[in-house]
Amino acid sequence: MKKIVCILISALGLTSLAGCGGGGGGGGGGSGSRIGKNTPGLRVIQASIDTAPLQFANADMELSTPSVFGKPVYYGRVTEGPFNVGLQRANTAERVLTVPVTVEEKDRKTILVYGLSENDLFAQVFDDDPPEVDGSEAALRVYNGVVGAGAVMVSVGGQFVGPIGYGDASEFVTIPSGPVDYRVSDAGSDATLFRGSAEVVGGKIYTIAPQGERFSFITSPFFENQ
Amino acid sequence: MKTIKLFVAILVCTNFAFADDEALLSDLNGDGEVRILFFGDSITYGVGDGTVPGQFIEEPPKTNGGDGYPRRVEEYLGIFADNEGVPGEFLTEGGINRFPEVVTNSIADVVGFMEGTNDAVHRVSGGSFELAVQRGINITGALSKQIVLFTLPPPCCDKADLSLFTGDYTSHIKELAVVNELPVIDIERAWETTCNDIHACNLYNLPEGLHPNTKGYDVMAQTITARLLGIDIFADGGAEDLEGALDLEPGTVIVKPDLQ
Repeated sequence: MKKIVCILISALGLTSLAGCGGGGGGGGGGSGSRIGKNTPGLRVIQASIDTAPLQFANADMELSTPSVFGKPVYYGRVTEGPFNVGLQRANTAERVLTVPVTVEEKDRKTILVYGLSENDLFAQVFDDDPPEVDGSEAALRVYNGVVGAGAVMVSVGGQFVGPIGYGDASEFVTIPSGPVDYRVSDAGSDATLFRGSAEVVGGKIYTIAPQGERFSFITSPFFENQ
Repeated sequence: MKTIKLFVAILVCTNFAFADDEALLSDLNGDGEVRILFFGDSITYGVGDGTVPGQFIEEPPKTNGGDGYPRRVEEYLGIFADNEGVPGEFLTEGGINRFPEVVTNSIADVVGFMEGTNDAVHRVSGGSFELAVQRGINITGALSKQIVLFTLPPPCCDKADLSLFTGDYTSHIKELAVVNELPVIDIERAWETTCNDIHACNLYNLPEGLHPNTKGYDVMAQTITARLLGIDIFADGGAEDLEGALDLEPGTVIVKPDLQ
């Protein structure tokens, strides 16, 4: 039955709404990990435009789907403690990066992978410790992986976030729930790098992840932390 | 009848891993139409089309960009195909710089990607070629379109020295397809099964050995169309399956199956 539903929905072009995938597309869709609230979680934002999808090399760590440029990503289940996270090209054993990380109970952490290509990759680890938010607002953080833009600013829901340096992340900010437009700009010149819109649900935590290369292609997925 | 068969094929739900029998045509942007964009160089543009095997061709005809394999695929499938081939273009220089704007401004659901033969002329390394293809994959995915990678037909004859590089590029294309879980349309394989002699292939304008002739573009279009419909053209009976799906006369499909 599910396949039949997927077939019909695919014909209508609604694949991302139904979690059918829709090939390489899907935008805000996808089948992310839903790890337990008390389980330590680690995710990888793959912001490098010339780099393949990445997955954990560690046998005891799990990403439900590889981390893909321009797509939402989700926390994977990890064990507590200090360890070296190996990142390898998806569907291969080819390691491209090793990142030391310490994860404690209930931690949520993000590895931002940035740089132009696999020959020139960097990584930063961030503690994702959002503020408590009630049902009328949401919390949001921006991770900047745009090559060639320097620091960026993001305007979203009446807030200005930044400037955020290349390879860095903002503090968490709160924004009102409801539909929002957002704009990523060069913090120096105010040139627009990307515009988008999203629906923000109160009580949730979100990520905006500008990535790509200035004067070539920039995208900035906006997605819920899961 | 043709419409019904195509409609059924298009309705198959494409997902993350692509088996060879999965159809690749889906209205991803929900505009009610399935459109395909073909990105590439002179071989996508259609240079050399209009000549037949056995002719001595001093210089392949440049054509007007309205033929080649894109026009044939459009006719086979009854969908709109946008020919974005630029003769003489290198992927690692002009092509990958042109690609973001072309794809961003397109309403196509599917992007066919085949470029690299001119990079071989300048001995661009396989590693550099791979980075450019990965960029194309990432951009297309970020725009929620489906990219389909094409392998490169092996040049012969006057251009035989390029085949070492195009063969290397094809191996990188196949690796990227695995890493990114993407479909590949294997034009190189079609050449291997269908050329009368891979070292003096009758699918090319000869003696040049780089741009396909009319028969070569037919082979390309049939290979592409079959894969888009989820038909294994290299299987025994694959040609007949494609003829059946498209209501073509028996013997119209000239791509040969793998040697047993």
